[in-house]
Amino acid sequence: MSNFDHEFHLDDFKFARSAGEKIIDKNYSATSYAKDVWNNFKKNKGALIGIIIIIIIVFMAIIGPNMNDFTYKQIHSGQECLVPRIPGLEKLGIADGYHNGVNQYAEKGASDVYYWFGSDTQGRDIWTRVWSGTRVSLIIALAAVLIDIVIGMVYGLVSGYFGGMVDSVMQRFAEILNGIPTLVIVTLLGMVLPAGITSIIFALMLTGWIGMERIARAQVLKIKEQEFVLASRTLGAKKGRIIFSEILPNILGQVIVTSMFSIPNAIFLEAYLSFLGLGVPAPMASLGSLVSDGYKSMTTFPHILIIPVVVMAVLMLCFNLFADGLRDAFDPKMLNK
Amino acid sequence: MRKYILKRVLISLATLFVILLVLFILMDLMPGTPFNDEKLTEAQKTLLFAKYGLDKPISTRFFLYAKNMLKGDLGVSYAINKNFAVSDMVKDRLGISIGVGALAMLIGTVLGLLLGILAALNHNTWIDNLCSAISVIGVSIPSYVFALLLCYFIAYRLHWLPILFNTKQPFISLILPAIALSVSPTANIARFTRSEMIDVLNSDYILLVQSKGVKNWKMIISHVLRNTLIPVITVMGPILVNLLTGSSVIEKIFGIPGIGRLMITAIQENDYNVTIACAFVYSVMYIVTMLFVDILYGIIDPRIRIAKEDK
Amino acid sequence: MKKLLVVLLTLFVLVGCTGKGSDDAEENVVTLVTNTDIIYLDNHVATDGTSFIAQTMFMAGLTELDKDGNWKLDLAESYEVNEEGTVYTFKIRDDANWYNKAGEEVAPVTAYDFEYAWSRLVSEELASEYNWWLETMSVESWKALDEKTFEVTLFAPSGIFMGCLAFPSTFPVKEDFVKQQGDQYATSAETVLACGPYILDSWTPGYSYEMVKNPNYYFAEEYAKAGGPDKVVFRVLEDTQTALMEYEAGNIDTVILSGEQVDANKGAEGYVDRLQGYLFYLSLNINHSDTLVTYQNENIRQAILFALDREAIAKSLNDGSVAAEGIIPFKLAGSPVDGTDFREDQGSVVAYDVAKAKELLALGKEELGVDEITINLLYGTNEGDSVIKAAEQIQFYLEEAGFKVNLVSKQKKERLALMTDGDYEVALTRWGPDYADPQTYMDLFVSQNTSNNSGRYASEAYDKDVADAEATTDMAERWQLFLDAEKVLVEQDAGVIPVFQAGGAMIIRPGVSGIEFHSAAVDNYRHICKK
Repeated sequence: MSNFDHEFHLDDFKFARSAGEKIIDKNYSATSYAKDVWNNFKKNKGALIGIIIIIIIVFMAIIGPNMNDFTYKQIHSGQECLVPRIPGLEKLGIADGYHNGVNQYAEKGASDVYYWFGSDTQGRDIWTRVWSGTRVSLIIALAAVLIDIVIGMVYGLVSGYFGGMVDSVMQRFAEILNGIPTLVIVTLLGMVLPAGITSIIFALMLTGWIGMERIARAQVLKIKEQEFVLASRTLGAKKGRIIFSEILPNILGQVIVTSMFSIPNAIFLEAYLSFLGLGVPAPMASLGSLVSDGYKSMTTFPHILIIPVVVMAVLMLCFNLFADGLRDAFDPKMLNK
Repeated sequence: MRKYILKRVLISLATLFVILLVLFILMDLMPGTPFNDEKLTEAQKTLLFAKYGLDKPISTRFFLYAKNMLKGDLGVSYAINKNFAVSDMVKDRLGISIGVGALAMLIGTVLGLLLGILAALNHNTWIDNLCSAISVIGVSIPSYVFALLLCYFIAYRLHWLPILFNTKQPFISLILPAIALSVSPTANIARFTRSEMIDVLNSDYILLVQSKGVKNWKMIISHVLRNTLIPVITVMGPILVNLLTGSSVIEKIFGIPGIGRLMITAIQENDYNVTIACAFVYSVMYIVTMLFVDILYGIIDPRIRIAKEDK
Repeated sequence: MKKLLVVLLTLFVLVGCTGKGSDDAEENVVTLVTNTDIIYLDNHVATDGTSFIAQTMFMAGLTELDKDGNWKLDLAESYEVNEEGTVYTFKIRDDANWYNKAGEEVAPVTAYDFEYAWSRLVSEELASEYNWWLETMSVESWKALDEKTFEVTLFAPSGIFMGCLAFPSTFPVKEDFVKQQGDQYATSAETVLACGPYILDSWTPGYSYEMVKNPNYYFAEEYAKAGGPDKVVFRVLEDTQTALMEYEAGNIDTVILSGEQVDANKGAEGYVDRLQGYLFYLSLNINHSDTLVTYQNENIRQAILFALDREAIAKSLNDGSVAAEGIIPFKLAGSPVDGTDFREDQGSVVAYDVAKAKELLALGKEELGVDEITINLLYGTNEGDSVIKAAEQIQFYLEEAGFKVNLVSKQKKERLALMTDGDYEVALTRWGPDYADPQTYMDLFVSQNTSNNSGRYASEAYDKDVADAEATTDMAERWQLFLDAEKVLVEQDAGVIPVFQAGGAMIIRPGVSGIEFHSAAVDNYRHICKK
């Protein structure tokens, strides 16, 4: 009745956008998964700091050992257990070579020598050893962990998804392998394999993947009955597709976080292997072997222990920040937030 | 459910048998023999081999060993404490190791869950960051470094607790080793709980529960925790087994006669029977724990039970 | 569910921690630290120092060693020896008895116990590692003449015979008791009998063992007068850092120091720096391999001999170890003429001269027709920190001289197996002297000793010197022959490369005395006192 009281005119309306502008639906735009991940990752400041420090450490591991005139195995008789001394900083009273109020360097007749991180009980430069040790540990840990992820994740996915007989058999096998203490297995490997980094990675790999497998399987069990998997299955998706494109992205976050935790385990297991004579051959150093060596001087010359421990802790912290960021970035549920 | 449990128990027994066989074969492959000593002649070695029946083929030895094991006889030690019944050696030390391990697990679980839950509930705040940092440091510093720090400050400087293990005050003197041992499990459990709980908190059913107006703490306890715990239990199983079977370094630092140290020595000395016994104790604990975890799974998460009963 | 878990865990804790506290505040107790546990209580199968020390405390031999390493009579009240020095007749004390754990007298110690014990030691079925001990003492036969008279016949007079009787392998055991216990014999405090100044009161493997004073021991009064404790506790502690804290807290009376701890504690009251008899040397695989020819070349061997800066190596170990000057360690044995130490008499037969080493290496390479010599240096990883450090040091100095060195680390048992099979190139190994005489080392490298001469060093001159030395009755001549033999072995042939002699640093609480160190055989803790 009075609905048409107002009379419309053409100039009542205006174009919202200027003519010719393309209209793109931003809400449902088709950005790639990888791009999504990267965008999400960028937002996480902690993760960015983590990756930057990791890069710095990796960089140091590459060039650090060559930054001074020492080599990792060069022994300086008479210059044992010196505390850190860094030119420049020593004027500020930090890292000035004083231990219990005595200038060790002057006392041992090495006034013109600078061990930036000090020297160990055999008079070897800790700076060089720490960085070359970091290099060795990074290679071992990363390789072992990557292999862990691949084997453990695939194994867990398959076992968890198929269930039934397949699951039973696969789980029994994992149980048998895991039911034997790692030490017994790796000790025996030492006999068969020649000493060296490849052997260590192999030994770590042989036992490391089971933890990952269990987690992957538990996650699959939780997810596989969920609606989106059911939907995919109803739509006729093949098993491989369901496992790798429906379930995998959902468990990837958890898998990555777990794998970051297996890095210190790998590093420490390697240190233990060195102790058994199966680790990196002496006098080569690794972070783990530096820590276990330094332990012996903990109450007398703590710097020998503290320096590798700090490098290791910082490295781990950054790996975790990084992993956290990755996990959030990978999580499809987080993507839409 | 009962049928399922029975089936699992039988499978576990079979698994244990296979493990024993594998251990036996592995021992056979060990380099060196228990009788490699500077002052022992070849003729004597042969004699000792014959004396302990080590000259017989491995199959004979295995079945004899398995048969004796059912009677509780684990053989005698060749090198560590010659002619000692291995069952006695293991029994005494296992008790102590279980004591420390259980205490460590208790501390680790309580602290770990607490830290994890705290972090998850305060996701992306400074509390979360602090909890994460604590747990990261926990896994990246080896337990022996913690152990020595604890010894130095708590025991040596402050005199709050004894420095070393002492059979006269077993509980008090096991507190420090247990704390040192619990650092890494705390960190692991905290990390895991946190990430699981964040997942759960973001899930739709929690949203539903929230929108229904269920009180916050009640929701956390009955809905969030329950779903968080399932995967957490999976990681707790192996951690528990590792703790209960002793840690060689912690035992060394605190002077504890535990089973972890015994196994290392046995491996180094090629003391076959002791190595097998220690390793098998580990295997039994592992398999039993896994069995429990599987059954617990079914109780906590109805979906798994249903899925299993379907098949 | 969680509650159940908590209850279960608490139960575990309680089960693991039941133990009663007891008080022994009033007693005079000495608590000593040992870094290894007893391995065998049985004195005939024991091979390690810790077990031997325990045995010398609760058992006794015909003689014992005083603090200077000279023998004196113990279980024997008196002895007679014939003119040729080949037949010894011992009279065993009337007041020597066997005691059980409760301290009750079981039976007197008789000559028959010795007769049985010695037969047991050499019996085939026991396969004792020390079954050659009696032969080393030149013993031909032995016999109990009556309850208290024991007669020993030697195939030749021996200067070391009386001293060797203080070694636990020769201690008596009671036949009835051993047979009655069967397989259980000497597996616990209950299954051994005591005849010495102490009685083994308890043994908790891996934790501690305790000795209580034997009030009926024949020298008990003298011991008490000197301040002998009521109880001696040996605590097994492997970690030197917590052990030092425990010492400083006053809970233990001795502590063993690692090389890392020595500098900080050198000034501590009660610091003791001792030499052990263990001599570490490089065994070169000369003739014990079908393929290896490198070490048959004398110049290569000499190059290795000259390449090592032994002073620096010993200094870096920092645990009281000293540079070796030959294959015979310091303070092992004195000359029969004037008592001068073997090492002092001989002087150094090794030297450090890197230029000379390089020269010799170049010569050797030319002779072998190779451009580079790569040494695979085998060492044990579970033989103590000093071995690992020493291996790294040796590698460094050999590389300085122009060798290329790979370190091959193995467990001790595997290292020994490899050496026995000749499956190695160069190995860092050691020998601990069993008695205070150069012969204990010299016997190792004669060509017929296939057990210990892993490198199959073979030298007619050396074999002849050693054989002559062992045959002669002229002690001065014997001494000279050993001096010559060492020169041939090390200086002339570089058949083995001595590196260092192990040391040991420890702190003994002021007021505790009577711990007697011997570089050969067994340290003596019998005369320990605490004021």
